[in-house]
Amino acid sequence: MFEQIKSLLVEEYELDESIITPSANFVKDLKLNSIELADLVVTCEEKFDIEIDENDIHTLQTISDLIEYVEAKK
Amino acid sequence: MKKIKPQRQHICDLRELVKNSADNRGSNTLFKYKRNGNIQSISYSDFAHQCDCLGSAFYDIGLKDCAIGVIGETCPEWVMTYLAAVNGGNVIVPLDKELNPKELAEFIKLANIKAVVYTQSYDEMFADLFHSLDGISYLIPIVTNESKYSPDDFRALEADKRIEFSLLIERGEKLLSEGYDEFLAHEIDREKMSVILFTSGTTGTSKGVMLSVKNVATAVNNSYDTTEFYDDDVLLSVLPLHHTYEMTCGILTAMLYGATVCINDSLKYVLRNIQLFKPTAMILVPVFVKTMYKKIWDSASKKKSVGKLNFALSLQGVLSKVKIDAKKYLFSEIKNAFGGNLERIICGGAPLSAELVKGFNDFGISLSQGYGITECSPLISVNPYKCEKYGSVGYPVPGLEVRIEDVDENGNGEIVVRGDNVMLGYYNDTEATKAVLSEDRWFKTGDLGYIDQDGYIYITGRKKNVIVLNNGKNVFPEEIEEYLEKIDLVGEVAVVSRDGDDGEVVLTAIIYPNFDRAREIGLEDIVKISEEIKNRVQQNNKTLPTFKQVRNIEIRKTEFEKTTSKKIKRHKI
Repeated sequence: MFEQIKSLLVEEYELDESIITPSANFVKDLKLNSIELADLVVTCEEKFDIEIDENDIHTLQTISDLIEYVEAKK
Repeated sequence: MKKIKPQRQHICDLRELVKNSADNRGSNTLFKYKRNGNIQSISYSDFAHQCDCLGSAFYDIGLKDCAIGVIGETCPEWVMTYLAAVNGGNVIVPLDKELNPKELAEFIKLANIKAVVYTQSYDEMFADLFHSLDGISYLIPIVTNESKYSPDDFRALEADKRIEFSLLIERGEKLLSEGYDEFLAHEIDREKMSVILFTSGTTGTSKGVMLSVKNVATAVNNSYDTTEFYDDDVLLSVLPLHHTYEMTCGILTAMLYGATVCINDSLKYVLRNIQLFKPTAMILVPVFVKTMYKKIWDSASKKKSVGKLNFALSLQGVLSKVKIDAKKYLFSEIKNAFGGNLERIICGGAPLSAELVKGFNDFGISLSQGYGITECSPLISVNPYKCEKYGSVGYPVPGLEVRIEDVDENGNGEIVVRGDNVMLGYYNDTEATKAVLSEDRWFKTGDLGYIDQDGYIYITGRKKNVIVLNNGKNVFPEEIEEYLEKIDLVGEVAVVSRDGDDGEVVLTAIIYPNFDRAREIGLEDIVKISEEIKNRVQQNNKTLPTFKQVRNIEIRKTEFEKTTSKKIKRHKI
């Protein structure tokens, strides 16, 4: 799943592959703002066929957090 | 054909706003919104009628001369509650939807709220809270699927203190059909406190800004005078309604124009909803504008058309010199990325870079920066349409006096204002009111700046502690410090803002560790102590809304310099 999210971030947000690690923080390391993060969440919902509660977005700080969340929902 | 701005009469109060808009544009759509999988709409006349129904029902169940709270996602019922409360002489208290249950209960008690109207997502929270809310007479949930109750159940539900919103509307409908006119005949006192807006998320640090009908009506008239909208405009409402910026400029001003407001149902779908509703105008804060601008260039980069876009910008630059405007043709693809119809953006709430203003204007989307503060209901200044000055927050709104006090050697000083949009004061806080509001009604904004020779205002800094993030959210350092002080390894903490790489405001905690506690748990080395503190702060972040999360931690080995009353000297940090 990490690779899928990584390619999503590269394609959608033009991010440099080298900074995308499992522990990368969306805001601090990847410089995504709240709207971009919310948009990424919707893209993940569509890609992994799950629903992510808007109120849970603030708990998703790193790529690992997102992977863990998606896996628990699947 | 050139559009002509509709000439609307200024409003004296919000009942006039509701009535006039229904009389003049009754069949126009006021709100368009998603509900139960469909897109629904409500016209100006239906909305006005339901406002009267709700106001009458409020009176019927004894909600008169009292405070009514409203909380939840943006929906027509939220706005209806606001207007029905204010037009009936009640006080509306819009509550922040990011409050946790404890904070919510505290605000309800503090403002002496007698009834709360809330959207369905708060059902569980209120079910848990209800018994601890002594002063509450009614809970009023907005249930969006079909109600299991009928109007005959009304009195039983009234006794249970939980009445669904739709039943109140039906009740009001019945009352009005029987000739009940107490609500309609209520004489509005324009000077009386009608709105309380809390400035932050905890009762300890928050102040309740008291606004009168005169304050809000003046702000709506000012917003109308300084913006350029039309009655066929379609706005997309994305900012939270408990902020007076969205409520006054986004909703009430749109009503004065007779425009349609589409409702963004979630931050998650904002970019998709722009495509769906195809707005012509938007009221935004910088974080949205920045994201949209980045998207334009990211998309050009993906399509390998950055060169083409730069060429088009240069070409338009040359054409502008001979007064030819080809933006419509050159940048149609960019407009299509935002639904195809977007023409105007008003941006406020936080500083906006001049580069973004110029960037959008170059693409043919007019971006005007404005400046406001909750205490001014909120508008202070707006950049006039097509007469913008980059870097300025615009020209003062009509009728508002602005002056600069305590001017320093560089010409900067505190921005001080006086006018009918300035608040009555802070709720139950005479001392705080006196600190900002003089006897002759001059209000100290706490913002530093200057006024140029043409009368445009420029903001250069901030006198007060509040940190304004790029999304317009105000963060009070004391509130975040309160959360961090609960971490046992934190000895002293000061929260400040630091500039990030790309102009973002980064919430930063400077921490002096509690070395005694560290030793007790076997941590001696400063590197290990720092790591543990960072872990704990990360954990703490997960309990807070995104905008309150600390992004950067700086550890210091010495205590902070303090005042005699043991407060950290912030200016020395």
